[in-house]
Amino acid sequence: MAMTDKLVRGMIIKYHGEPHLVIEREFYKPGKGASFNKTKLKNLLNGKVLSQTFKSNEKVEELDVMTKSMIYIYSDDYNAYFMDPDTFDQIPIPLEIIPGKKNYLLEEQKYIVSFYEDKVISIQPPIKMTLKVTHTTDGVRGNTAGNATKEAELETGIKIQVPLFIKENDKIVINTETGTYYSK
Amino acid sequence: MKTWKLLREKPKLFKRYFVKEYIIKAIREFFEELNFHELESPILTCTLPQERYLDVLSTTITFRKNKKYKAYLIPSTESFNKKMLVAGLGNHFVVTKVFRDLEEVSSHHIPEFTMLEWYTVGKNYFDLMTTTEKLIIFIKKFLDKKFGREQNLNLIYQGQKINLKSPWYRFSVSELFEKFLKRELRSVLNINAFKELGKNLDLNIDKNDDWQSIFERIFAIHIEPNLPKEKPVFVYDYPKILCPLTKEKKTDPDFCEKVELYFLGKEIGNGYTELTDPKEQKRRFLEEKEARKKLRKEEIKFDHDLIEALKLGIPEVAGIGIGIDRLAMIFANTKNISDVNYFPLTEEI
Repeated sequence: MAMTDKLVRGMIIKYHGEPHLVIEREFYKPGKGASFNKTKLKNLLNGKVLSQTFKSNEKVEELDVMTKSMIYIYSDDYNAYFMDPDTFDQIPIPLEIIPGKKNYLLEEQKYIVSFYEDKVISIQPPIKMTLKVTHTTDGVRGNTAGNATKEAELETGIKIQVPLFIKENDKIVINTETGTYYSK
Repeated sequence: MKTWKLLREKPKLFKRYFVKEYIIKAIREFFEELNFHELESPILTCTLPQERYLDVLSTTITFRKNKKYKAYLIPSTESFNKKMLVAGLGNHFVVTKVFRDLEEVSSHHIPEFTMLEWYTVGKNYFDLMTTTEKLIIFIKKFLDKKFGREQNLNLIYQGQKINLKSPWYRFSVSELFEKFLKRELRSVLNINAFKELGKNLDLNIDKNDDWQSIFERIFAIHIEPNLPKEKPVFVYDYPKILCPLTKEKKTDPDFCEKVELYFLGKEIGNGYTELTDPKEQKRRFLEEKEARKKLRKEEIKFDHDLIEALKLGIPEVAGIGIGIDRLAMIFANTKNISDVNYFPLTEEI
């Protein structure tokens, strides 16, 4: 059990028997009543977001979520398939719950998968990923004032803006949280 | 990085901090035109009005040798304002630092902040709403002038357009309950009925929860986020239990003549037609004192002097407090209350 004054964004708690991610938390100190925390919780089983208050000192159950590093193998229209490198077990994960769907799925890459009672509740690609540029145009000269960019398609199919000096077949690092170019 | 270092590097940022300075200048000019006196309030005091949830900062002062007294840093100036009204000062305002102890410093809460309070003789809470509109519009124009901008009534806070043109929205608490909870407020003034409502709204209710605390939590989830954002909102007519220093409504004594001002769902000010009856004031203070005991809050010394003053007769009067830091946040378009103060406490601890 954790006290609610320890509630932080990103914590996964058990609420009404189901795992909820704390996505917002604000401290309230009204002049007229006892202080409390106002939170926004996301149900990790059905994606529903709700607002709830927790009194200071109210206890909440922080969940022991099991995380595992798993390797991406392939995907179809609905699921991506991942392998446990220790047991070689394969599991399907619905594309819907994968951030960016197929945008950051690269064969042989490891992903962090979180389980709660044997059910996958979230999957995270590495924050920085190195991907090959499969298609881009030549940078237009004379148009380089400021931070000029152009579009590039990467090997996973995602299209992002990159600096003009990037060429096809270059390997670049992108930030998967923002979906933007990071470095070459 | 400490704010003073940041400002040394980026002097353009000074503008953000000038907002509060100019707001205070505008307040003085506004009340000068209305012929109000400015009262200088003490910051240290030995007695306080009793309020059950007040977390007060205290210290010890020494008189002569070995004579130590407990003193509090003021949470509001109300007691001084009222005594001066009894003395005959008439219409006046105060701009001062006030203090609250907190469990946590957050985007809207700091233990030390700047407050404006003003008192108008012979007026009520509806007059306060009108004057508040005028004052804040005056401040907006004053800021526009100081910053060399075209004077108008529009501002943008965190991407949200706000228009200050009068009249602002006015909703009674009962109307808001009806609108957002589909419940008659009067039917839940009883603690058991209110606990039942709280449970239906999925709040964690236990035997120690009082009416005030349940109200605040329901308000935060079901009303505050639904208040209109494009204009400031006055919320008025609060249940009596929420207002230990407020006059009851003559036509409906379950409610009090209290008003709160909201910008984008955040409370900026709180005012009321003042309670003038010394007996009733004493009764409510004792009730609050008792409640503090039950809540295991620090005992605070009873302000008998205020009751004495009320016995001599205080004029009919309305008073309101406006949080200047929160107002500065709106006009400076900052997310965090620390961003309108040169020396935020968060940089010290």
